[in-house]
Amino acid sequence: MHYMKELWFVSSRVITSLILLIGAQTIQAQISTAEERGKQDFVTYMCYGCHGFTGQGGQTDVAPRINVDVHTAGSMAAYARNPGGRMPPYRTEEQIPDAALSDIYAYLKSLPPSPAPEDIPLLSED
Amino acid sequence: MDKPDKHKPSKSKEEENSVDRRSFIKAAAASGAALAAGTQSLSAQVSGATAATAAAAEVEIVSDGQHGSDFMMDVLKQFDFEFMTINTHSDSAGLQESVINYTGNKNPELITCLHEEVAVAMAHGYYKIEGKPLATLIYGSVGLQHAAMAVYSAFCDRVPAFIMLGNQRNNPNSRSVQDAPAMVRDFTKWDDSPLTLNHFAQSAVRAYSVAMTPPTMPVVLSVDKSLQEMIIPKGEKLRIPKYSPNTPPAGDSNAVRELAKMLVNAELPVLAVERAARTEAGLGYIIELAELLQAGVVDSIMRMNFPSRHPLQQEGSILRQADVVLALEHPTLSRTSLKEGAKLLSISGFDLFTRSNYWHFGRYTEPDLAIAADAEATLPALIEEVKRQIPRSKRSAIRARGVKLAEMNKNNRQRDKEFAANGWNSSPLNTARVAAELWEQIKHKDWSLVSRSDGMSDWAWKLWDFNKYYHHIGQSGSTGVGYSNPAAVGAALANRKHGRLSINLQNDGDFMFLPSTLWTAAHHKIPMLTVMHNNRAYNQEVMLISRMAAQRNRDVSRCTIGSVIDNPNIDFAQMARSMGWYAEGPIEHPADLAPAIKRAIAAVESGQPALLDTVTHPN
Repeated sequence: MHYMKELWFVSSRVITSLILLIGAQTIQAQISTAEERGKQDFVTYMCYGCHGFTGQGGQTDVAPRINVDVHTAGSMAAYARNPGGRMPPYRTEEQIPDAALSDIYAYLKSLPPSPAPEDIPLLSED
Repeated sequence: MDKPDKHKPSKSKEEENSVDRRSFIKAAAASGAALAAGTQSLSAQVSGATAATAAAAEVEIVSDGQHGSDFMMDVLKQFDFEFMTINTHSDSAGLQESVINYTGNKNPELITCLHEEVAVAMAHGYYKIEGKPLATLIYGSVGLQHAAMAVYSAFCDRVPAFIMLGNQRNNPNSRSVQDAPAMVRDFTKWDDSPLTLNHFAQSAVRAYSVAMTPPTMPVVLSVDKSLQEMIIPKGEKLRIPKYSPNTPPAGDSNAVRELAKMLVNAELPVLAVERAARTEAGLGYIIELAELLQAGVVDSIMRMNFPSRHPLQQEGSILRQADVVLALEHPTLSRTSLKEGAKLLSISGFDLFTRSNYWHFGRYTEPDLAIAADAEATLPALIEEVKRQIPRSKRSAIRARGVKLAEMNKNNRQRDKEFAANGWNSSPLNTARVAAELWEQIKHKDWSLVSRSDGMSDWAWKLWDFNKYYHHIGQSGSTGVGYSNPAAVGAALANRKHGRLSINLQNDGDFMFLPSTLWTAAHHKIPMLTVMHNNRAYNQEVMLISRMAAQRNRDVSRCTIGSVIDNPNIDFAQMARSMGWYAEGPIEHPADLAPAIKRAIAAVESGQPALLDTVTHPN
């Protein structure tokens, strides 16, 4: 009998732990931030290939920096759907969902500002 | 090659053993002039060609019954080849042995390459620093097939490689070829397959002369095994023509005068320079012309044409504002890049020799005035003419133009710095930061960028102070992937005796074509610092294929397939260490950069090649 109590006690602890663990994972998935999802989407949808992992841009004639002066989520999404210049057109939801565009915007806005060139000694030469 | 006995080898054991052999060849006279009157050479008897003009310079050699390849080395001596890049092979055993034991592996010294493309690309890079070719010896069949892209790059880049092919035409097998140079004839300037030793002498001198006359290009000599290994009959007289360099073709004086007039009268003249400066002097001429006119300069940086920080250095967009554009060795400058009605002037040797099958020449540019001549050879006359024609009344306007251009240059530089700062502390590394950290540690040294500058988003060109000809070897010519690594080692080989710090900014995809290049650099103790642009991809293709998918309304997220180089990530540092290099990496955090660069430079300055595997942003 004592043995059965112990077994119940241990089992209940295990079950409780499992419930907590599953719950935590669910909550974790839910609290995954737009910024974190956007960071992943920035790679998944190949934005990084031209703009760099932090949107700093590449060669000036290839891809502009997009981690500064991004006006609104709406304007960014609108441009992605119908871009100009050499930007590939992401026209459809199948190519990139609206939600992913929104998350990418959140990611870009979350990036810490880069230092000003005059604050970087290595860029101080005339 | 006036005196065969000056080819005495150094006093190695092998050379001592070779003395008897060397003694077979006796100079019939100490100088060509002295012997010319007395002896008619075999080549003159056989071919009847050029004897009259060459007679005053000929050197006659009388055989004592020895080897054909020794005579070949006597012929090559006058070109003063410092090195001979080689991938060893059976059909050049005679010539290789003569390099080793007849000339003592000195002038030329053999540089062991583990791939024929390395051998030719090293020659490419070497020339762009040294201004003269080294010799290359590879298999005429399978070896030349390996080397073909490097030959094409040299052709497109107007680099005079001197390539010799081992072949065996009297024994048909899978490694013999009827007409060995044919495979690269579409992208070489001249070739021959000599039948006799005197024929070899004639053709070798002609090949060198053709290669070195602007427009400079690769040449090929097929050197048959039987010719190398033949015993020259005793008493046979052989003749070595003297090489007399051609004067580069300079522009017609009337055309130069007219061109100067158009430049002087222009509101905004711009010089568009591509392969304009062949030497340090050419760099000086372009500076002088630009400053005289206070003209903008747009540089495609195929050579070190113009200082990177010169206030007249401008971006390509200024071409749309210019009313007169002078293209200097820039045969592909498109008229569509100019504003309507602008005058396009050209000085280029391109039309003096070209080939048709490979379309490296671009569209016809419709110049208003074109001078078919070497730009560097023509610039001194043009400068004098411009000086003569500038009226006093124009001087203040010219000065004002210079002030305006300098202001534009200053604004461009400030904008570049703002771009450089963006993502400064990011990981993977910002390529601008890699370039800036490097510059901080090399700027007070005697440095040379031995790679393309258009990697890493041009940051080296934008942030470093390029002002000497050897500061930069320019781009590749063909843009063929696989050029950079061996060309950089070839340029570093040329820099070695000058004590310069050679820097190679190395793309990872390019690197993996010919990684054996590292062994050659370590084996021959060629000090250089290679800094990887390791973005783990052929990123240009990643961009292009993503764009293609987007335009077709298809899945963009799959477009890394076939273009990325990960899973597994390549450990470049481990690879380099395995071949004798000092190496560190992968380096992913910006704080680790400066100390690693310092340690690597110390290794290079001790004589070792060093590699830093820096993991970078895509561009």
